[in-house]
Amino acid sequence: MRPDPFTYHQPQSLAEASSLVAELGDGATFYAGGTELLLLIKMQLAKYDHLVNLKKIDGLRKIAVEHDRLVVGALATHNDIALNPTVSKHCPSLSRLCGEIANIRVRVAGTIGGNLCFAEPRADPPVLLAALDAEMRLVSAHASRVVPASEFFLGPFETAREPDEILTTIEIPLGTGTASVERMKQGNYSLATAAISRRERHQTWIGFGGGPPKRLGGTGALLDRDYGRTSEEALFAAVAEDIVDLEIPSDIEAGESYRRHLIAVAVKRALASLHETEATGVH
Amino acid sequence: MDTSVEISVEINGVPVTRSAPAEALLIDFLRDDMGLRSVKLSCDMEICGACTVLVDGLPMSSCTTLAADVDGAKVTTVEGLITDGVLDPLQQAFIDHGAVQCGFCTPGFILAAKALLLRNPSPTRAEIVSALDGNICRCTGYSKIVEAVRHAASA
Repeated sequence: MRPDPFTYHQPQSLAEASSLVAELGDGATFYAGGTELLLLIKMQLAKYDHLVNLKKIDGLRKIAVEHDRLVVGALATHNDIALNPTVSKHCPSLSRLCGEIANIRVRVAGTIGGNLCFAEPRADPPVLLAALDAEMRLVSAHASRVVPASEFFLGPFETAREPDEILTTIEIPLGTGTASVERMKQGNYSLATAAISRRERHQTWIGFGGGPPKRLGGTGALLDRDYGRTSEEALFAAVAEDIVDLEIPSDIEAGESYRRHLIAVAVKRALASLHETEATGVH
Repeated sequence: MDTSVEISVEINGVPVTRSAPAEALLIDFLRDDMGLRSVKLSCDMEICGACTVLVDGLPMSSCTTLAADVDGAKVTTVEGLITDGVLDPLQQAFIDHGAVQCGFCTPGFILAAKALLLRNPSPTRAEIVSALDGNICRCTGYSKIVEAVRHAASA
């Protein structure tokens, strides 16, 4: 598989990059690690006459704590995040998840921003970032805005980002709470992902391969009431109720009822992992 | 429309400057332009690890990396691990432990292991297995491969 020819643009600034994509229109797109986009282009599933590389723009790979927020540059690779001591100190669930994505080569090349903007419905980071109340900063040549992770993902391969907007940082509020994420993997992708965060209230979010991360309100309420003494039956019932109307995929990878079961198991494991984190103090 | 890009890169210690089409993949640049045939094309989708090369010491899938993106970097293929005709301890360990069967996956495994040892010279067995879990061997020689890496690390 070989890519069709394209023009490669290497802007030095965000404004230049955004203007380029605005001017070039539908035939142009931003390009970061390429781990997902290049595959699509190679397979002729996507066609672009112009790739606008973001890797030459300074400052987009920075990871730091600023004003009680963990600020992760969108061009930070999964490997950067997995090995970063600031992330492991303040957000260990994100460290661990980024250290387990795909394989080492994908983690070395793939960026967190690319992962989020590509919005692969089986991706795990969106689920955890939604549970962590993360916010996405989007910058164009003329404006800047912040979108909560819970509103950023609209559907498979679809986000709230406008074509000329660049995701520059992912900002995670630092609290005293803990969080966990577990996934039920088959091959390279998750069939189900669950993330639970525990701040003022519990938030339980799932990924199920068919749409944006989904918040399980009933399960969160159950944990608010019964955290630490939730029975498996009650948990499974709450999850089943929360996802009863959700359109779950059914395909060669797994049937719908099996996937519904896996979602509950992922939530159970995320809860166990949260208990373990709190009991041992090892994040 | 001229879509070519200028690439200045150090390959196995040798500085190289070439013009290549923007869409050229690193694997083709290395195999066809540079004659480095140890870099193997297999799955073509970042899963099997046969096309692994080191870019500034980090393992990457050359099948899904643009040649344009290694501009300014140092690229190492398994040929580049040989110093003055002497094999790298990892290469020697793969031979000594019979960690090669058909040999197709071997360059990728050796480079993935090299990347690990560059970062962590004394890995545990679990760390070795984890670092190699993105490389596939169809001859099912994993035990000997892990043993070879353990031996090279402790040598």
